[in-house]
Amino acid sequence: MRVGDLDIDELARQVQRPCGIDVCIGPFLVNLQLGLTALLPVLWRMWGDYPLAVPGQVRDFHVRLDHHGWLRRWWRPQARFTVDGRSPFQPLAAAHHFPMLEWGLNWCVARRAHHLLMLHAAVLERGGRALVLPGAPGAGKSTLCTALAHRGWRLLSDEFGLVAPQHGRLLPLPRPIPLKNDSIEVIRAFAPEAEIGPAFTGTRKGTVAHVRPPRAAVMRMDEPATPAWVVFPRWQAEAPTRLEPLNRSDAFLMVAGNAFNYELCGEGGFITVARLVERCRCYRLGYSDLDAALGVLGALAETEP
Amino acid sequence: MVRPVRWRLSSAPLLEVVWDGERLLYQGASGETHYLNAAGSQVVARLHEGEATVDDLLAVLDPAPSAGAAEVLRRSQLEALLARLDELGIVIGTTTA
Repeated sequence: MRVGDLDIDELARQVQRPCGIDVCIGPFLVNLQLGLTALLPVLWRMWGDYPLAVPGQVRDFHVRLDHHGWLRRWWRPQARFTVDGRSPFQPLAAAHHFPMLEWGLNWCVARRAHHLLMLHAAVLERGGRALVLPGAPGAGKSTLCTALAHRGWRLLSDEFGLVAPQHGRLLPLPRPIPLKNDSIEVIRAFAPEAEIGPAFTGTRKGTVAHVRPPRAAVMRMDEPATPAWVVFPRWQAEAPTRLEPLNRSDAFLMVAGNAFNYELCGEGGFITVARLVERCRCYRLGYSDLDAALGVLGALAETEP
Repeated sequence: MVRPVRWRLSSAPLLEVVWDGERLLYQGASGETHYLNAAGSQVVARLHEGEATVDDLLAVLDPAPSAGAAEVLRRSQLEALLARLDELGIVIGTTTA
């Protein structure tokens, strides 16, 4: 059974129980409890394809989104995110409920999943081969990722490139993609079929709207992909589309510098990054035109052995 | 007579990858990753074969050295590299036989 198989009233009933609901999101099992129900419509829509876990599985995170204090239900309402009973950051405006839940889950993954090398990267797959797009904020990673996910690439993740050290493959974590500010309209125009949720204005990142992960990506979220390309995207207004090869040493340093937990992984981190870079072709991509960028990346998948 | 310093690799665990002549080192003791360009990589490669003096290492870097200022510059650059690798615990210099 999937989240979307429950009607919204039943979902509301289940998430408000003390035991909440157990949802499988990529390799993680998230126990979700809500005291704040305003986000249910967007949650039902964005998480609709995630399977509900069968009883008896080990939960990775117990998360809860609630009103922050009794008075805050009515006066400047605030939402508080807690994980395993602790609140790791300051409450936010209650109207920012869904972005807060998603940021909170990012925090959980980044702080806990140290059995994996975690890259700050979007990952997509085509023909069994994975394209890793590490990107600093503002590099255009989410926009490019969304565009690719709606042009024949399978979305593995927008935020976390999860590399399993045992085999070096990338584990899918298909989550709603948070588009920011101008990117929202760019994607509405580029991929009208993309299912975009409500816009949350005035967040710490400006206006944020989430793209529902494509159903096929969620259905296949237990299928890892073999890394084939590492491409560092850089969006810049008016920039020509240019794909430049990177030598492996530079790529190594950039990938390691981009990882959330390279240093924590110690020797294993070095070996995992080295293997990733060894099996990939590495590039820098400068672009301003999405169609042209997709053309260049599509050509990689079609022409490179 | 002053004996020349003989350089060798530290016995501390070291992981390495070499790509296109460049070398990345992971030093287990410090948990740090270091990048060496082609010249630095050649120095480490030579030290893998055994102890070496600065003259031995210069001979690896430039088998047909020119005399004069360029030679002095190369020597001082190599000594600076070795001093840095020593600080990082990657190489050890000794004057004993």
